[in-house]
Amino acid sequence: MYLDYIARRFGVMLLVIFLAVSINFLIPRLMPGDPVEAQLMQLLSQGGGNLGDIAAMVDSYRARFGLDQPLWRQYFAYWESVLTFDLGFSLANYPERVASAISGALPWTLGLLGTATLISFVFGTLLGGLMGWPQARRAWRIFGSGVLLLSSIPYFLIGMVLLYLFVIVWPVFPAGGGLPFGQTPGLNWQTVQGIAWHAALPLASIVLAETGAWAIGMRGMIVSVLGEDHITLAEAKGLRPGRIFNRYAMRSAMLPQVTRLALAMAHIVSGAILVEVIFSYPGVGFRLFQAIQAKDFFVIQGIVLMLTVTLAVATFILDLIYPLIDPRITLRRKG
Amino acid sequence: MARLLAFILANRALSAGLAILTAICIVAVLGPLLVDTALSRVGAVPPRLPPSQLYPFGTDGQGREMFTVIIVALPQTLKIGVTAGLISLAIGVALGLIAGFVGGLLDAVIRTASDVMMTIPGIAVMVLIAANVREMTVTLMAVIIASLSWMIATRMIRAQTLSLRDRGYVQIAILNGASPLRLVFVEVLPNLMPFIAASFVMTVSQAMLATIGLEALGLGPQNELTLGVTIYWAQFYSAVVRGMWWWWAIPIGALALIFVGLMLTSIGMDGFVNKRIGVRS
Amino acid sequence: MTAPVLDVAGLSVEYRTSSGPAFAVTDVSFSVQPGGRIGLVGESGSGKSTTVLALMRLLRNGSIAAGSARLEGVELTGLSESAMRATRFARMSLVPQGAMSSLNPVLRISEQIGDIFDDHGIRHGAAARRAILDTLLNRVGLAAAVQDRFPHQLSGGMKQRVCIAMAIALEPALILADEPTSALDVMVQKQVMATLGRVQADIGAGIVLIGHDMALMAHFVDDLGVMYAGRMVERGPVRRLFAAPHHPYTLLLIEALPTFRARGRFRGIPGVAPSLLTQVAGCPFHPRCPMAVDRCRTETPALRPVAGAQGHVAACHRAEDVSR
Repeated sequence: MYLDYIARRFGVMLLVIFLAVSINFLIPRLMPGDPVEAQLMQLLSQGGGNLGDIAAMVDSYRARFGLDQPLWRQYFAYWESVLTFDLGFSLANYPERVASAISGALPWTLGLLGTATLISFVFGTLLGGLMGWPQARRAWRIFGSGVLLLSSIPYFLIGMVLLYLFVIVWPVFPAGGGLPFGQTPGLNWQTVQGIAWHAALPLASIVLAETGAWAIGMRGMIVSVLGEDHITLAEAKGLRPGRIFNRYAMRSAMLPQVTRLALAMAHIVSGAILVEVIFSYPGVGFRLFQAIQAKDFFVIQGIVLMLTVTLAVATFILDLIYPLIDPRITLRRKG
Repeated sequence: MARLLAFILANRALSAGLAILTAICIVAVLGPLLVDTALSRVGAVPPRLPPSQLYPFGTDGQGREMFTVIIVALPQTLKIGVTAGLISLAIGVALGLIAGFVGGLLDAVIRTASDVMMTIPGIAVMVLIAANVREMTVTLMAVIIASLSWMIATRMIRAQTLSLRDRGYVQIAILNGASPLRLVFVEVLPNLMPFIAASFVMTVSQAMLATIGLEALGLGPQNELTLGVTIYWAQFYSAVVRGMWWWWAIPIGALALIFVGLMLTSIGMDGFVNKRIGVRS
Repeated sequence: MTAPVLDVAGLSVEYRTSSGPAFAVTDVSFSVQPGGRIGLVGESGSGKSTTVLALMRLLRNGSIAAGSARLEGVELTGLSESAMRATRFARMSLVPQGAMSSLNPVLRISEQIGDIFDDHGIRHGAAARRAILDTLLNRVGLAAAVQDRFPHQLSGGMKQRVCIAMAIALEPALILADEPTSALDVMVQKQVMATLGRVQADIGAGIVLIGHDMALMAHFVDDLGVMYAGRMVERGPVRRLFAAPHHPYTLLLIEALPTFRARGRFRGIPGVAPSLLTQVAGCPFHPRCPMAVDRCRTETPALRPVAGAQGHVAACHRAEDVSR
């Protein structure tokens, strides 16, 4: 039953969120020492922050998170703050709140990831189909193999190469950031152009690497679809090869690709984080990197939590959609 | 054995992949014995020099001789990847076998755990742990990464165990009163070998990917040189912008080689594995 | 006599395998009259399906090594791919084995049948197309509503009928039915075969029915060809074959059929069919033949006319002794 299936997937999603919050809570507290103080002392030793400010902050946190209270009390308090989206303050950029730091960076990441995934999925699936189809030109197979080899390399490594080639050697693209320096975003063509220009290389890094992954998946599907009887009958019917490719092979092979989307998302997100770092692209990944550098503990926690929860929700949504678009899946009991 | 060799040679992707990986392993094992590892320390040689006859891979911004660095870093990177891969594989195979064979509640639990863990972006947890650890070592990294890479192997092995469990010879062995241990080691495991091998390659790939990712973010082992850490330092000292391409491009090249080797091997094994499952072709 | 719709002469088909060529079909000849029905019967691997695939030029990893096949006078083996494509389903169609997997799972029935019209250049307006599909489905005993369904929503028998509907959509002159009822239960088998026979008569097409079920053949076809290891070992009017078989294999196939009267043990045919990788010296059946003599091992018997019968041929050195 569809409802059973939804319930199960929902359960998994809740479990993931529960685990994520709990792990987020436990790990720093499992480390020896007072987590907040340890971080703050480290900050101090690196010469960051003002002693007076920090002392005030430590006190307020102590009280807030009740670090002197039994663990389970702290746990509930943590849940409470999470559910109200209060993820604390940024240690490095006090008094900036973690939540606002994240929400400022989020749109950039979403834009980059969304576009990159869309382009890679479309191109990759098409390429994979052409690679697996015996009647397609051989050139596609050769081209595809090249793309495939590229895909084995982590995104950000490709990013570094692209950065070097197209920013240093041939200064075509800007070195980093989301917008040209000093430009304020507005609803105008100039903004769009600026964004596009700065996003080009990060986008290219992800697309170059991801496309191959989709292609190889699709190629595998097409090859196995080829052996199926309905392709033989389609040929027997005297249908045009193009139609057989599109309506008979691609369509039935493509649906499992969509499930792969759900599984691939965690992987794509991980890769994108590093790409942002290379290009100083002002997304969530870059903020995370900065936070790691600055030992900005709460920002790290906040971003990690947000990433996990977002992925869990997105996976759930995809899980919901897939049975609806594949007519083969009958989650209804027969008869 | 001879048949295995013949098969490998016939499969182009597989032979190419294995050839690359073998070459890399040889370099990783023999290399450190043949170079002066002192050259890979900070200040050993004049810094920022491009590749030349004296320094074939140049020197980095902190005075390390790059050729030596690569030779020293390569085995470390491999160590993490392979160790993490082996640990993951062990966990994955064990869980997969149990889930497939025993079934029932245990299977449901393992399956759900694996689903849940797969949804969590590995890098998120790793960043969290790594940021909290005071001193990161190669072994610790391997363990952390292993704890997040076991799911692929589990799924694969579980699926195979399920299908093998219903095969004739297993049923007969059960009817003959074979003990579960005997069943596992004599009947099932040998037939799982191709899948275990394929899972191993995939797990190592994923582990290496995670390793590089963490290292590039600055969360890698602090006192040991790995390829990812080298890249991190290059990035830290803006090597890209300053045109010191040899500092980061060569480690990237080495990494690319490893990944390509792993991928070719994986593709090659795919063909073999699928034939055994009986996918129509 | 009128010209046959299909005239196959000396057809040989080879498959490429990693162990060398497999001689799947060797020197097979038969013909079909307009409106006539011929059956090709034999065990798995005898070459029946290969023959049909060869006629449709849908062989994978195989090719027609020799012989000719003329459809309405046109030589099929020499046609260009585009000419062949135009012929498929328009002049000669196929009812596949296993309709379960032959229908595209992600397309509606209306689209799958509609594709045939579209790609043979026959366009209709939406309403006209719907009406045509309605009529077509009715002809095979299906409700018009089936049009909008997906294959997985239909039963096995219904799916097979959809395949029959597709096969007659363009009213071809010849229908090749490859074991159309193997996967169905007996009652449904009967219905589907009845449907097939009826529509065939309606459009006046010839039929080549492939199968391994002698009883089914007895009820359906006019002529029967018995195949073994890629060769045709006997061919003739079906009643004649049953009354007086002239090949040991045919005799054994008939005797293997259970009847109400004969009780006791079933008689199977011991042994297995030979590998198709080698061209056997002598008669391919001799290792399993209860009547084999020395000559059978060394000399391949040719298809010779049987005395006292029109159109009955058999390939056996001891053909005359078989029915006694």
